[in-house]
Amino acid sequence: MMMLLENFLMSLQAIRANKMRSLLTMLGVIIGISSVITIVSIGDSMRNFMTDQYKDVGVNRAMVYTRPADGFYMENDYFTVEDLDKVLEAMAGDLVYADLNGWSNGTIKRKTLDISVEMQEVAKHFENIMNVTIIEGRMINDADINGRRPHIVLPEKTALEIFGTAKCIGKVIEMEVEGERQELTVVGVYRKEMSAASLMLLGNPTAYVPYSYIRNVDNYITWALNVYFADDVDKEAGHRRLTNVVARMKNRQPEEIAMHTVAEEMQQVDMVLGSLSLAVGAIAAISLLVGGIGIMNIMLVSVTERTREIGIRKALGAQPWDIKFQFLTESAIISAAGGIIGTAIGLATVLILGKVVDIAVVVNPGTVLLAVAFSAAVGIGFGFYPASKAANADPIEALRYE
Amino acid sequence: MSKAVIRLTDVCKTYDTGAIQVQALKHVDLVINEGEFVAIMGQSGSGKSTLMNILGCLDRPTSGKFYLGEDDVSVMEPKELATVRNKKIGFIFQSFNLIPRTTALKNVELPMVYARQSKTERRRRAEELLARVGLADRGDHLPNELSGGQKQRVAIARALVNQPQMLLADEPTGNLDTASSLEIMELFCALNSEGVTVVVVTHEEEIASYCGRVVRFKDGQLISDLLQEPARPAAGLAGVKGGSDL
Ligand SMILES: Nc1ncnc2c1ncn2[C@@H]1O[C@H](COP(=O)(O)OP(=O)(O)OP(=O)(O)O)[C@@H](O)[C@H]1O
Ligand SMILES: [Mg+2]
Repeated sequence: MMMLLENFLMSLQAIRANKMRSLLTMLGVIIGISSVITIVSIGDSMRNFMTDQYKDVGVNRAMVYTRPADGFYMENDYFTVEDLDKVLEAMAGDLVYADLNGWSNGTIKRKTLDISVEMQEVAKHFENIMNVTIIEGRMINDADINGRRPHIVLPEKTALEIFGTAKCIGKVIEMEVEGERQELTVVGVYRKEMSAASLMLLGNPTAYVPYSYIRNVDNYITWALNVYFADDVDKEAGHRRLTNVVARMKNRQPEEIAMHTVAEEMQQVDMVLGSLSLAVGAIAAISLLVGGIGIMNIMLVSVTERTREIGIRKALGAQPWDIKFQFLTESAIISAAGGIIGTAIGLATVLILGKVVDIAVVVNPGTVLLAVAFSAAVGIGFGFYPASKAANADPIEALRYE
Repeated sequence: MSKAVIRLTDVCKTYDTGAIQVQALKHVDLVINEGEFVAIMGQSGSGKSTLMNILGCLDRPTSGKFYLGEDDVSVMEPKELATVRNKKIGFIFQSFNLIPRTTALKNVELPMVYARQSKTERRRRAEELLARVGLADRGDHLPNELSGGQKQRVAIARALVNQPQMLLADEPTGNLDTASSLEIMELFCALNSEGVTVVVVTHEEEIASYCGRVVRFKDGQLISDLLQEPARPAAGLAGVKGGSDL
């Protein structure tokens, strides 16, 4: 214990005596550690961000459609309003919401710049999956859908764009939808906090309209159903049941029913991002190795340079272990200091980057711990050879060294 | 007759430099007893340093036996040799060999660090010995801030710090002026009178005259071994605190 402290102090002194050289040696470790931490944390933050985006879209969401084995689509393969009701009825316990996956775009003519309004055509029970905050009025409800009412719920941003205020309940918007003039009454305005990054990824929030007003319910068909499972439904079993229901309805084999789920997509993206950050992280780890070799190089120089000092210490009765320990401590201090500085730089980089792109930063303490432990190991590992060389030096040879 | 601290029988040392082999010591037999004050003399290249390095357990004889007290040094492991150097021998070099960028006090403490002594004990003893060699106020000085004579006195304090049985000095005054040399020799006399065995290599007859025995070498061979009356008794050394608290 005493020897440890004594060694630590002696090593600090040796490092201080060669400040510039020690710093340059540390640089390798600093760059290695900070890039590993930065890269792995960026990867983790990206994954976390993507997961959040998918959660926002709804992890329980799935799109179902037919994919005929022979490639020939029949009219029956498309989905009607009746199909929607039938599926909802057959899957009563499983689904909390389903619609015909309809979207339309309205254009409000203005003298200078037209305003474009993206609209999601919602069906009954939309409140079950709604994940926005109403700040004025209300959401589209079942009465709107049953009554095919010309109602619209706007995102706050669009309301401000059109009326200059969110307090616009009851006002009428005139717009052109697929070549037809429509008049829609505002029944609600909602707000949704979005970071710059998610705006970029998901686009502007959309307005909501009853599908039954925009579309002619009697002959409206779409190629897919957009459904939301209840939280407590086992995904696999639920998907199987839905596949079977649709297959029976469309006179297709279950294999001919395709399902596109958000959870699946999320997993894939997560996997790609995960392996990407692992690969880049591994490359960064190589720089750690290079840093380690730098330490070894400097320690070898230091041992040679101090051969005479080693000889004196041995003449005074230092055990081989004392000498070895002294040099090991020195390289461990250099690499640990490099590790700590590198960690600080890495963390700072990640935090600043996170602030700049407005993404919640995820720093895995395990990553940091691993990086620092690795750098200490590198220091001790690569310090071992030079230290052993010093420890095994012949005292008289070392004393004669010039 | 008193106890032998050093016993060399038929010791040879050959340096193998590849092309030529140098026989630095040839069949040397030498016994040095406890409490002796021995001068080793001989012309340059006669093997004095070679002998001292063997006595100091820094080097090994090529053949022959070397007993330190009762122990056969030729069979010792590097670890045991380190312990012997640490506990039983104080070695003093012509070139002082202080650790650079390390204060005088720290230099004196070093053998006690390797002997695993406590910090407070180390500090106490190092200060005591620095005072003994007259450098009480130089503890914080670095080696390059000391004169040659002062450096050698620090080195002596360092050699004494673990209370060794013997002091081996290879031309300790070789780099010093006459005044400093005499100071060092008087310090050795004082130590010897306290019972420490002292072996000094020197070229100067005046230095040798302090010793009770003079051993001469020539071409690696011991050619004469004479007892003599020390010229000056170990007495009051000016400026250096005496005392037998070693
Ligand atoms: N490491 C070595 N390798 C080869 N030969 C050596 C070595 N050290 C000493 N010698 C040779 O051994 C002989 C004795 O050398 P040593 O250093 O013991 O002499 P010395 O009596 O101490 O001389 P000086 O009074 O000049 O110090 C010399 O001939 C020298 O050249
Ligand atoms: Mg010599």
